[in-house]
Amino acid sequence: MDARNIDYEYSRLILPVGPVHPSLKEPVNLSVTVVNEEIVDVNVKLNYIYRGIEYLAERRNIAQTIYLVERICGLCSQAHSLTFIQALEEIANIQPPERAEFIRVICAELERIHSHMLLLGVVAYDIGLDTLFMYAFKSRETVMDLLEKISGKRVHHDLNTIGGVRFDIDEDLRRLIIKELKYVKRNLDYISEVLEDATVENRLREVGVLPSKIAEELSVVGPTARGSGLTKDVRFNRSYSVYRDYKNSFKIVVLKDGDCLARVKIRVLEVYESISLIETLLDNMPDTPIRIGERILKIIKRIPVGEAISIVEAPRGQLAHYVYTNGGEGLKRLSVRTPTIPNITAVKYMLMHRQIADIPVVFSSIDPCISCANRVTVTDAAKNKTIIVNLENLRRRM
Amino acid sequence: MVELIEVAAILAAIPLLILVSLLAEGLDRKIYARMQGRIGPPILQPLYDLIKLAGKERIIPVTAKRNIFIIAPYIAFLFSISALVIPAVTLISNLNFTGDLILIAYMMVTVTLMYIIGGAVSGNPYSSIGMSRAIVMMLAYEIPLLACFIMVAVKSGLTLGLYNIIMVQIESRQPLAFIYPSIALTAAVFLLCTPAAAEVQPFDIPVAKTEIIHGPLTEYTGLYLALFKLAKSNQTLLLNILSVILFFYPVFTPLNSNLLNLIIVLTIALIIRFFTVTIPRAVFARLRVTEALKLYWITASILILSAAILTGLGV
Amino acid sequence: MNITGKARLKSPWLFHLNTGSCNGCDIEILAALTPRYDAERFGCMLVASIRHADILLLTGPVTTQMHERLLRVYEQMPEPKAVVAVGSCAVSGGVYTGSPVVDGPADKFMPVDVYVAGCPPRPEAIVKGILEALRKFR
Repeated sequence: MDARNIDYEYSRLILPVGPVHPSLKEPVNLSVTVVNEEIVDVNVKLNYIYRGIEYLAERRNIAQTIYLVERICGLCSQAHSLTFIQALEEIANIQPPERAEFIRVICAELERIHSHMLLLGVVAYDIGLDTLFMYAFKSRETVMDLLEKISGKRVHHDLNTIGGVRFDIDEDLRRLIIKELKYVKRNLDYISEVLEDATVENRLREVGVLPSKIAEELSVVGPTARGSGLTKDVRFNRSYSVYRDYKNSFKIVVLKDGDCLARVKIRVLEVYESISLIETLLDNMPDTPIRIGERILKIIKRIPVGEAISIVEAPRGQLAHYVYTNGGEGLKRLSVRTPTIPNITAVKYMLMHRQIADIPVVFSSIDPCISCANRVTVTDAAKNKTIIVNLENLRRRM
Repeated sequence: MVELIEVAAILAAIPLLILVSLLAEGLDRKIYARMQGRIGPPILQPLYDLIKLAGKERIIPVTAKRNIFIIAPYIAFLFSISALVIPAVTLISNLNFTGDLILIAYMMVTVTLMYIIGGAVSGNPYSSIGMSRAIVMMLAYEIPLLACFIMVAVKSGLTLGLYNIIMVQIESRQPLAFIYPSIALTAAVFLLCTPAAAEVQPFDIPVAKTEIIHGPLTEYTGLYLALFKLAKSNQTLLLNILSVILFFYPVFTPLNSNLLNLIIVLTIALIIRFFTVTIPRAVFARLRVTEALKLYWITASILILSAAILTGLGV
Repeated sequence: MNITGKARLKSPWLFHLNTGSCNGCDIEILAALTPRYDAERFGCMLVASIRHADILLLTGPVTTQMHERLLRVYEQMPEPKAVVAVGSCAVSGGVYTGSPVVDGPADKFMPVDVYVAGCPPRPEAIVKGILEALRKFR
């Protein structure tokens, strides 16, 4: 090695971003190699909060698993339970009443609104604009209130059950939702005005660019893909539930720039679309019961052996559950593929040759949900690490 | 005997000034919270924080250079408070000595330097990055700031004493910034540099919370952290008071009215603080370090150069 | 009560550590700082460095991976310190009880001062929990 080469090695700094870092709400480790404030390598390590949810799901009965699946992620809880229940209903051949499907989709869209609001807030927080963070959270609280009025809980709604939903939306609530969503819309107008501000644009425009070709190769999903000009939306491409009939009441938002600003703007525009969809759904709610009469403990007794894959569009993108029942109230296999897994691989490409200052905002702009992602990585990427740590534990339990 | 009284006055001014600088910070935080639609902390909050921090355990990391790590916050605090005492005492007891502007400039740079040194000896990668960013920021705003001092000194008849600068303004019955257009430009540069020196939002690059934890102060605990925080709020208040004295002195108050004089200057300083610290903090997103450097060197140097040309023309 | 004790009651600085929670509690902690609940009126501030913190907000059942890191973070906190376990998982393990990779709940191997139950607890409850923890500093 000649002198110059050694010099180069010394100027390298490996910066451990995480697992405990203020801009990351969840433990994830980005080992960032920096040469003179420029990023030359990124390694993502995810397995810090692996909790073995699939393992637990295979050892509990289905009624318990519904609640477990809901707690995979605090932000897409409705999406997770909706996916899981849809798969179960397909196996058991149960058709939920129409009104139940409406309420499920309304809640899923309300969840999309509050999840996107959260992303706006977090991105603002990462670029140092605390005021926008506060405003975004203020209007997010309105949506949280609506969800609380519907289900009694703010975050985990425990709304879905096999063959229907547990809570109804009555006439007063319907009017309240429409009224409050108008308020959210007004706030959103203001937020999108703030996003036009020069200093905000400066931090977001042409940062973390993901060209559509690379996005296709990495098969990113959800708003990250739509920000790069790919028309990927499960609600359209492979529509399910009520979306089949109401495809025309909302638009699929696609922007071509592929930078952080596009990804943030997609969220703003999608909230508008969600609001208009919710308004249409509320107006057309059929007057049927909200669930089939049978008790859930009886239903799970008659679910046969079978397997199903169910895919929905979670706030972060395509979410898939593979469910394999064992015919005796339990599951033989549950496999969850969350949207963060394909999206997080794109972070490396986005961060290359950027500055340290861009790490938090680029990482937030894909809206990572690490608590979702950890379930999946244990068998592949993290295997060599976790198996060493947990061998004793695993042996003892099995 | 007279000297003794003056020394006593200076000593009495120190705790008072600390209190004032903390209250100014508390007011800033309160207004900031109100702008975001929150109730906000009580105005005495910085004082509570300070007392609490002083009573906490002091941890010195094994990777840190122990002695320098401990000394840096003390020096920063001492220099910041002595720099703050100079204009205050000038206003209270009309103490006059030539060259105090140079002393203030020197002390202000030292505070920032201690900040940088504290980051350098912490032995934490985030502190090191914060340190290198603080150096860049110091280069960005200290040079225009010093240029401002020189411009004022030239325009007020080649004097470096604060007392003389005040006297020039009182004699001509007008604040300096309103007399000469060149000084008005200089005042603009000075006010532009204030948020960077106070390390608030668009320029809080060295301590950016979401990027590099807390920059140079990441490893500091207890009293050391309290001293650094105090030094920072003292420095912000000093800059605000200086911008009043150098550019917008309230000429209608006679100089020998002691405390009243100080109170009026402090009030104007707080108003200036609202416009230069609180508002940018609430409405701007953080800049990148290269952009901040570009902004200061290009914008500020154009303004200062045009001010210098105007001075050459005699206006 | 001396003057330091009084000041401690007025300025609790928080540090938030996620040890495997589902995000629900983390977002509710963030929501506790925003205009509706505004924990800053009690002097609460979310600090970035554990060296500055008074109260550790702990969410999630402690996973094997985070176990060692949790202890390290706890040891780095300067005295006097308090730990608030936020959410059912941090209090008892919640729905994750029985998983082979969950070592928690946290009070098995470190002192926890306040338990805030709920899945997730409401922001008001979190603020109340923080204020309860302050009684330790008296």
